[in-house]
Amino acid sequence: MLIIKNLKVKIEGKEILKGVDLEVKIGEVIALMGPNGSGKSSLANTLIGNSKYEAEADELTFEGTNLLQLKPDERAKLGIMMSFQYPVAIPGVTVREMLLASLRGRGLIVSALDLKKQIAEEGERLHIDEHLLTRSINEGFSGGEKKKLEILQMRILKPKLLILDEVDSGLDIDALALIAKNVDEMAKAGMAVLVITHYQRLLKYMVPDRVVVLKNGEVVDRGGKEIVDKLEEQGYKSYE
Amino acid sequence: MSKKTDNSKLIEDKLYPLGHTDDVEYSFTAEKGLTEGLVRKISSLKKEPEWMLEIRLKAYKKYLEMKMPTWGGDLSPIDFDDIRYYIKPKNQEAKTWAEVPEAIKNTFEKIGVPEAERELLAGVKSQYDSEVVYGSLKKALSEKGVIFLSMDEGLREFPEIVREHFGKVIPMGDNKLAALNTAVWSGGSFVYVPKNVDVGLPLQAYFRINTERAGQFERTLIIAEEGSKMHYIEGCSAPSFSSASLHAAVVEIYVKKNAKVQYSTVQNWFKNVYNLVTKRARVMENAEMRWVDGNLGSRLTMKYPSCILAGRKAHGEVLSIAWAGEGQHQDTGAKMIHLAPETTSQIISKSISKNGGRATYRGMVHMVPGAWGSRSKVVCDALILDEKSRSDTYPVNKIQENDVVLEHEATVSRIGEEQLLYLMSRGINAEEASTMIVNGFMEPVVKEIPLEYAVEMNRLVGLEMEGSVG
Amino acid sequence: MKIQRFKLDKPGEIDLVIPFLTSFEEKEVLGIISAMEPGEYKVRVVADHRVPNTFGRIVIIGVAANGARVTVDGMVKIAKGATNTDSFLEMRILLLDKKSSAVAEPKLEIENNDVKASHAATVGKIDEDQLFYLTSRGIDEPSAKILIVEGFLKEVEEVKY
Repeated sequence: MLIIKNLKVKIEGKEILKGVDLEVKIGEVIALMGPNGSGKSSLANTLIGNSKYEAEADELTFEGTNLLQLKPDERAKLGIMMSFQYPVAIPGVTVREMLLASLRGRGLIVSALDLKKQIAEEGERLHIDEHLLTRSINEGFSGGEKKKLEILQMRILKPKLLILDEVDSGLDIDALALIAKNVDEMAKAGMAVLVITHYQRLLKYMVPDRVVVLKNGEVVDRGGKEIVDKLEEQGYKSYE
Repeated sequence: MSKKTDNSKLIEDKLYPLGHTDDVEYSFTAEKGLTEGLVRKISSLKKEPEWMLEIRLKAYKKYLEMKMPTWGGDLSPIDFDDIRYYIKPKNQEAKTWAEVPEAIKNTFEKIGVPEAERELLAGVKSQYDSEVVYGSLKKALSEKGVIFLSMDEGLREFPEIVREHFGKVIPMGDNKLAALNTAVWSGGSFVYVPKNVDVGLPLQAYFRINTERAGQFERTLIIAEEGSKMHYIEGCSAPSFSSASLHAAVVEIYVKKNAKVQYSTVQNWFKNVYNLVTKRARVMENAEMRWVDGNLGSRLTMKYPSCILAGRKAHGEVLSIAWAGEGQHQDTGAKMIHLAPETTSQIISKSISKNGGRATYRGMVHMVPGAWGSRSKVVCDALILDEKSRSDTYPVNKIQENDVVLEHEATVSRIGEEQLLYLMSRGINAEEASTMIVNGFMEPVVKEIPLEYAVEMNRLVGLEMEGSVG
Repeated sequence: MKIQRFKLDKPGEIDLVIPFLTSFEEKEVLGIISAMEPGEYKVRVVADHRVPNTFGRIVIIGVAANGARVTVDGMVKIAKGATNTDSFLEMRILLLDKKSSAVAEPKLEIENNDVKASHAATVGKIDEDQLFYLTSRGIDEPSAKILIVEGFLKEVEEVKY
């Protein structure tokens, strides 16, 4: 469903990704790993259309549609969404308002009351404090609360491809397990997941179908779950 | 004062029956320019008591002596000799519906202004046919002893109350425009709420019969007796035509011990208007005054709602929004004067400038010696939407007492790229995302504005943002 | 980063204009006002950003006592061409007694929207909780006040932005 061929990405003139190939099929869980600075987040941001990144590729398509000229909202409407590593706060805008706009933007007919119920249910499932759901998005939230709120949004928006950008950073074990469980449910229901992480922890809860390792902007290894075990033992030094 | 205790009977006896207007007044139209003769004529047409004429004349002299403020906006284009200082309400119908700009008609359509009101707002009609609504409103109010009249009627019916309070919160020498208003004022509201009465429903300037919608020199006097509670609303967020290009209004409010008053304004005058307003409340012990101010229109607005916190534990607030678009300068702010111990104030100012507009915050917090235990917090945030626009902040904090807390913060920013990306990554397009962010920015103030206005305002912002993202 | 410091400890005036004329300039101004005698102490600082990509920080911390009258007038100006300016201004004034007073005017004139500009001002007296904490350790009040004031003034070097 997602085809990336020879993707090169620059930011502020500096080359970050030097020709990356990657494919994600429907319903697959792919783990994208690599040390800090390898370009994982850049790849994620490029996929959702962050204009800070200049991208060129032989192919960058999602279900046959070329992504390269599309804006972030257009890509989101196709079904690609990201759970941010550092979700930004937006004063005066609640999660309900945002989700309402997002769902209606897709042409869906949504009742505000139904959405409110849905948000409350998902909030309970993810152990998010009620009062956080009626406040300005992410304002004054702890790191863990922000991540949970990202997942809550995804449960409601149901993307076809969910990119998790370092969702595990800053989470305690319980929160991690809870998030993994919720994402896993969505994956079993057919959602594809691109899990970006440089720790192995999360992957104990979300077992990937395939693993891709990035270093210095290039793919240095591909394979199955065994790569995770290898990294657990040897770290990223084995790729030097 | 016997009148205070006998209000309901007073109101029934003395109020003009619905629909009555003073014919003599309506047959006069002033020549352009201001003379002492005109001031006398205005007073005689209104059949005012001698003491009010004297006030007008004194104010006229003051007006001639005083100088225009040189700070603030650019007042030089105003030609004071080219203004009619007294326009009878009927003569304010300046346009036919056909002459109203298309853009304005579209705006009415989009923000859902009822058909009946469109002509009024566009300057096609100057009187609001509100007899039915106003009639039942008056009945409800008179049952509580609440007086709500035009200022002219108030002076006629309750001269003693007016004399006791008129010009004492804002003396005629306060500034040149206040002097001008004191000399030629006409129209405005007179509101009196007796002790411990909670008016319950918001009083809207709108509902007064014979409202001079384009009132240039409106004078409003509001008296909230001890323990009373009221909310007054003026203006509206739909674009409003005015035949007069200079508005110099004065609003004086007395918030007596333990009383609570909120005065909400939303103005969206056409861009030909100079809107120069002096608004001040005197707040007594334990009382609360809140000014909520939405400035969307006009070519230049200079307005600094103020509170004189004269009694212990008095509390004052100014929550304001200013939107400065192309060709506009909003020079607005607030003044808090802490005269007594343990007084508190809060100022929240949110401004947005776009398309070359200029938004200026001008504020003053003054704590005098003896105002111990006082606290003030000022937050002024400005959003500049593009490279053509401008934002200024000129706060003065004069603290002459040490046992106080003053905090002031200001930030200037634009719509954050990350915020845009975040919303767009959820499938919301750029324009809608920008509108959400701007509305979110204004939210702390908008939530205090009565719902219908708030909804209209948010829609207006949406309209302004259309086509602005490229 | 160019750091400029000043100290005003006698009645008088300090008038500083901090120009930012070259891109990528970074300037910091740290000022202390120690106003312990009766008289007028005036500080006026203007950060004048004219070109892109400059960084400015102005922090002024003052203490007033014995009838001193302190005025701090701080202005951050960002001209139309000064894209990507990052400018912060802070003034904090402690009034030690009822005879002293302060006027704090943190001003902004911003003509470019692609900037980060903010300012803050506080005026008040010594925090009661801080005083209590020190006296509960056996320090007499006057000495405790001196400690607090000295600590307050030292913060000019440590303000976090």
